[in-house]
Amino acid sequence: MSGFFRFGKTRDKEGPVSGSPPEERPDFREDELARVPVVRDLDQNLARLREIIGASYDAVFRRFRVALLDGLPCAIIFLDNMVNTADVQDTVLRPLMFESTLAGHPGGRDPLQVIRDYLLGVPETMAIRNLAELFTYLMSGCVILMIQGEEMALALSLKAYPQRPVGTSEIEPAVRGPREAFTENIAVNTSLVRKRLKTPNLTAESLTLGTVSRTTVVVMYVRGLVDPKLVAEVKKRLTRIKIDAILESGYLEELIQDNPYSPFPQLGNTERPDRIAAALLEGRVALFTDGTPTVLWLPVRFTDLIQVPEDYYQNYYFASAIRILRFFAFWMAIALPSFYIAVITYHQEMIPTRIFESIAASREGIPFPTVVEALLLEAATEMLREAGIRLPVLVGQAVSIVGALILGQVAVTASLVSPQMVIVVALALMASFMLPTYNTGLTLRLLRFPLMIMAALWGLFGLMGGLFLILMHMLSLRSFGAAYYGPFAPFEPSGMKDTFVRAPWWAMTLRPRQIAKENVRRQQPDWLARPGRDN
Amino acid sequence: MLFRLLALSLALVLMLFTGGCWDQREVETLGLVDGMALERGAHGQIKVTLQILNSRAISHSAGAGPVQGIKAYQNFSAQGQTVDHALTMLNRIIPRRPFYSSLRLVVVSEDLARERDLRELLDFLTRSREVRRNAWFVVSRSPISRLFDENTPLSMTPSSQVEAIMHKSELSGFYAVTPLSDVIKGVAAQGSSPVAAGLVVIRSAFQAPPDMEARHVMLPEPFQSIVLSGAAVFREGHLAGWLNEEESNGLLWVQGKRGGAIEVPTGNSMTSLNLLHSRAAVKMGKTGGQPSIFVRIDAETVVGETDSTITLTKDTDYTELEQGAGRIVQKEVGAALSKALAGYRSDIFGFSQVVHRSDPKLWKTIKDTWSDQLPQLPVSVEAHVKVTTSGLTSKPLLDLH
Repeated sequence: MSGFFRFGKTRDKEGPVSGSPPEERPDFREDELARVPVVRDLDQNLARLREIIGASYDAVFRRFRVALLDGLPCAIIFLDNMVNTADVQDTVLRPLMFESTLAGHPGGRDPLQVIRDYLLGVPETMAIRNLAELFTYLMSGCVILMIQGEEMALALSLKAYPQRPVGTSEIEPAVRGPREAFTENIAVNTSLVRKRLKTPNLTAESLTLGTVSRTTVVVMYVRGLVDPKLVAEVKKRLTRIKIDAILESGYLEELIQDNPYSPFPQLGNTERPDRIAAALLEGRVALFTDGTPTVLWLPVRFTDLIQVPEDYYQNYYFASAIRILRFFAFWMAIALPSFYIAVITYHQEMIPTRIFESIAASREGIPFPTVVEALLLEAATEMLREAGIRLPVLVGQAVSIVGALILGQVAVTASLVSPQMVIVVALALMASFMLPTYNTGLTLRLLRFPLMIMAALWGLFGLMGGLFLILMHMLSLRSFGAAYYGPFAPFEPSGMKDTFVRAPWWAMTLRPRQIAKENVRRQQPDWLARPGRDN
Repeated sequence: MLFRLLALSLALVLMLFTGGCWDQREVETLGLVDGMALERGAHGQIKVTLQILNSRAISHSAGAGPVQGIKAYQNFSAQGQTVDHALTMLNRIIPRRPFYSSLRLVVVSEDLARERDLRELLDFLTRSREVRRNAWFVVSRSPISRLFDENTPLSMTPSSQVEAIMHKSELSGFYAVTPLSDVIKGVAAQGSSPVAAGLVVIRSAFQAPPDMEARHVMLPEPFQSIVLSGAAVFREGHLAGWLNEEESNGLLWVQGKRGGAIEVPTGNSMTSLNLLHSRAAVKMGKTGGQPSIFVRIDAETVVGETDSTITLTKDTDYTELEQGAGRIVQKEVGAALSKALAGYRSDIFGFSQVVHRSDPKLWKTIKDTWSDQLPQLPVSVEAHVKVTTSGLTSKPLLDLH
């Protein structure tokens, strides 16, 4: 590797892009890099960097001299497209190369100090002493400034990733409530929450996870509302992670959840900042992952999965009615097809005569047993659903027409399935769509299949057995110290205000006790103005 | 060790599957029994007829109505020594497994009801876990073959026609209204006896003129009708005789089930009072150590129709009407009491239960001779009929303008 540098922007065109690899070493381990210090010789430093960066086309090395310091040789290194080059020009190159001459020399000091204190116009600078630190900053989009004769380099934060603007929430739309949703940029995401909770107690601790991805993960909580033990536990679990990359918050979720084998979601996820703000206010912890709009929150309970932020914005009577409906939808999504199978094939006595007559009439000429009919239809609807998600929007419409209208209608007229079964399966699907968290719906749809088999084998006994197993499992689950089936089991009377019903805000004076622990008081009770009272 | 544990748990899990599906029945293999008829067969056997719904005929697949030209039911008959035996014999000819939860009507023919003990006939229905005891129980005076093949365009089957008539019994009166559960309780109880509605198929008043068919005009329907009328009185499990419609009304008064209207003679014609609801309280008294029965009937009515001479504006106008109605009620109840107690020596009113409940000790001493003492049982009837409103008008039609 030659130590030759031209002045000005150089791209290593002779690198591995055009042929021979510059170095036999395939990779550099972090602990290895941590032992390599920044040395006084600029050329030596740059040579090392080139060696380590290898063939990457987007690494920019730029040497220049600081006029004020008698032409002291310096260099900046950055990754093209990850920094704002206009900013580099305005705040680094121009001051150091030209404007420094206008200022006049402040007097014989350390060149590094002069550069940092008098010349650089960058708000955020970090000192670097070894190459491990250097690459961490470089790869996350900082500009590295290296100065001849210094054992220290500076990382200048001038990040400018390609990114999407804050858009409207597509996964969790709401009629009433804020429209904005999280983006892939973690800084934007944390600021979306910060602007809702303007308290110095809102703490956002940053961690870097993933040996290759170096993903920034932010643990956010409100001091004074959160149980400190919960934060400690979260951080303990996060620091245990030894994985190469965290590409999405789903990785984190699976790596830190209490029961790794459970099909039930044990962490909440959302793309709505208002939901995260509400969770933080109940003493929960939010986990932001860089690169995904899906933010996790914990601990989560079963009831949280069937609630949406809009419940708290709309009229509380309506919100309560919808919640009760969702609770029925939860059990319907799990058990409706299996209940139908059990009753139709084992317990015909339970069906009112008139309904049974119409079912018997519709079953006439169907070639399959009820359970096969149900499984076929379930599989078909799941296919339709999946196809509808994966296909481009333009083709999606064709799927719904062919799938839903043609297939559904013709299957009935061709006597392959009975209309009643179509109704049952469609109702169960609707019920699973009614659950506001998508992954909960997935869980329920999956559990439906074993239940259907059990119902087909043992009738209602099988169904009840299956439901009991599911209930037992849910009762045994814990999410970061909170009982999953709370506030029902263990029972918490004050928590009932926010389960089946949503009490009016003036009546919800406490936070969930099982989550907020000590800090349950949300507002003083009974302050509401009433006729005949002077307040 | 681990292997053993795994093998053991696998064996346990697999064991569950060995019992799987043992009582699974697909709907299309079931024959929905709509009605069941018992009549006298040859050589002292019982002939059982099942009316089974034809689900092929009533299917509504893809919005096409019921299949035309096929009856909504098919009747199957077989004979046997017992009901169950006959049903077993039926399985030779029915392509499906009879399913009794849809049973709405149990008919016993008059001759069989006189001959065989009801306790014996109903045993099968009492034991079966499929049979719903809210099916209706009737005694047919017409041959079952006529009843079960009656043309009933408004109902799916003749059985459901009878069921539908029974369901709106509060609009008529004139026949006993007895679900299977009451009959089973009635035959099982000591002292009292069940009743059942009488059923007869009669020629309809509609007669097609002879040239009608020739002119290809739609024929008037139906030519025959199923009529529910009167009550079959049982005694010790056997049919003892019948109550006519007036006597049946008397029975319904005591049971608190009377519906329809009371016809009160007023002026030179009749005034009709429509019943809103009625209630009967039966109490026991004692005269000389022997039980006596006291029946109080309260009824609320509205004027349905007058003879167009009376004006209903003052309280006294109503009082006269109410007293007249009360006399009618007493007359009807009296007729039922004398026919059943004295005529058939059958306690269809359930007086024995009243005595049993009010004075168990006394009941023990008299229960053996209860039915013999029935003709001498003193029963006093008190009737209070209230007329609440005269409808939209208070004056007769003649005085309106």
